Amino acid sequence: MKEMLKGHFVFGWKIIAYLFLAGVGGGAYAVGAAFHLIDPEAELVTRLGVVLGAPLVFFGCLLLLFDLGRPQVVFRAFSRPNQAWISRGTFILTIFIVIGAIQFGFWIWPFRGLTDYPVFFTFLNIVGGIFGILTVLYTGFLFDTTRSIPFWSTPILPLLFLVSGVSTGIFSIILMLLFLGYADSPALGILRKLDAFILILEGMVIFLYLHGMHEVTAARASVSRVVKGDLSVSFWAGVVLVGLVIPFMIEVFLGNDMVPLTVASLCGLVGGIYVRYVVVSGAVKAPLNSEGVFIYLTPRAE
Amino acid sequence: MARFGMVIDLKKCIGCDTCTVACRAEHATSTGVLFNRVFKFEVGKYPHSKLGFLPITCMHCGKPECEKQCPTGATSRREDGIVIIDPEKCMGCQYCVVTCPYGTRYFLDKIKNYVKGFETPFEKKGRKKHKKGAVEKCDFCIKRVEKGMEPACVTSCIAEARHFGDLDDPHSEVSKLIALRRGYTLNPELGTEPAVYYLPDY
Repeated sequence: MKEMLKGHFVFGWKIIAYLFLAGVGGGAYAVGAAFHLIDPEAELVTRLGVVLGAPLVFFGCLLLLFDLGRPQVVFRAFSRPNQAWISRGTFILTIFIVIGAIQFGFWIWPFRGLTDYPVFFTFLNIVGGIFGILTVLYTGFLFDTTRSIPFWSTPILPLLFLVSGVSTGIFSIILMLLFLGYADSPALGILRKLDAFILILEGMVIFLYLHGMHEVTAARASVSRVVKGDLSVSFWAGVVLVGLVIPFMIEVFLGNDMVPLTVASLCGLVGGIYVRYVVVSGAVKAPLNSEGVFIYLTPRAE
Repeated sequence: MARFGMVIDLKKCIGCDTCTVACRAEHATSTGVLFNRVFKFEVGKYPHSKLGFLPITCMHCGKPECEKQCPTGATSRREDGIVIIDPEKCMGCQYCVVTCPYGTRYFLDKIKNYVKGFETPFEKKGRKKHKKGAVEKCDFCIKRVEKGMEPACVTSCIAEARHFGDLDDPHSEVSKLIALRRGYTLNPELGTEPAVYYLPDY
């Protein structure tokens, strides 16, 4: 078993933090935009989506920038959207941040005239919502196309990032509502019920994700690290208990009370960080296959 | 058009790491960066076991995963099949390091000297082409190949286990060896079509 554990590597905390922030930002914005389309009266949620969305994603992008070896040539990341997912992601993030900045600048601060043009406002919400979802999804597709790491190479991963992004996005909006003193807002009840439903979905996606990983040795090694190996505490305590069970229980049984709902939201956000941490750190590279002799790549020798 | 490739005879390889050292001497890589490595491992169970060796360099794949994922266009595949990195274009996102199935790419986060705090004249001379913050890897000794020489690891191999040549030419030494000894590539299931072939050790 020890042999199997070799060949794993860890992305730095900046990448994990970026994945989390992009999930929260994109998810919160998409939820806000969807609220605008369903119920234009619930302006508050849309507003919070705008306040949280692009700024969080922008902050995450700064982390990505600091992670680069040569940030001075970062403009080159736009070069190859025809095949590289990082390039596509650069376009997606840029468009999302620009739309978010327009809405922020002309609706919240410093100007406030955007709702006078309802068609344009709805258009921005639709396009921004799509790009918010794409912001959450594209890293999933990036990992999905990494064939050398079987733990990532699955189309369930974009789905997991999407579900986790939307649920953490809702948690962040709930937290903001409570924080700003809108504890009696009718939107709070809707968000709470929606989120409980999405948490069930997330649990199912995580189960299917791990369950489907039994075909390749390196994938089994990843799963055993997650379920009973060095990542098991992060998974069972961080993802399952703190991220899913506690917030779900509170949302279903304790209702709209301020203190429990704050605890649930904070727990849900922490769970979102752990989802990214476990997925990223659980990666094990497929071994070299020399005609049936398998050699695991060891981490780089220092 | 030629497609350059390499054949490594595992029956002849004795795992001496001369290729590793010759490669470092040729490219003056930073400490910890090895464009060429030799894996040593046990095959079979004791008492019916033996030592196995597997030298690894960049496979110069026909369909490189790294090139597919490179967002800047720094990694490209030349017409002669050699996969190269332009350090001027590389922004150091390191996703190619993650995605390369053979683990042959290195991110040069800082340039380390062999002797701490002292740069030898050799290191000073050879380091001009290395860019801090970029990703680097084996380039089949492109400078030597363009002059008509073989890569440093091929020339230096004490057991003549390495051969270099044109895979497209059926009369070249490498093509003949692959046909005669049933040469195979690593991880064919990934569909990367490597240009480095291995000859079985039996």
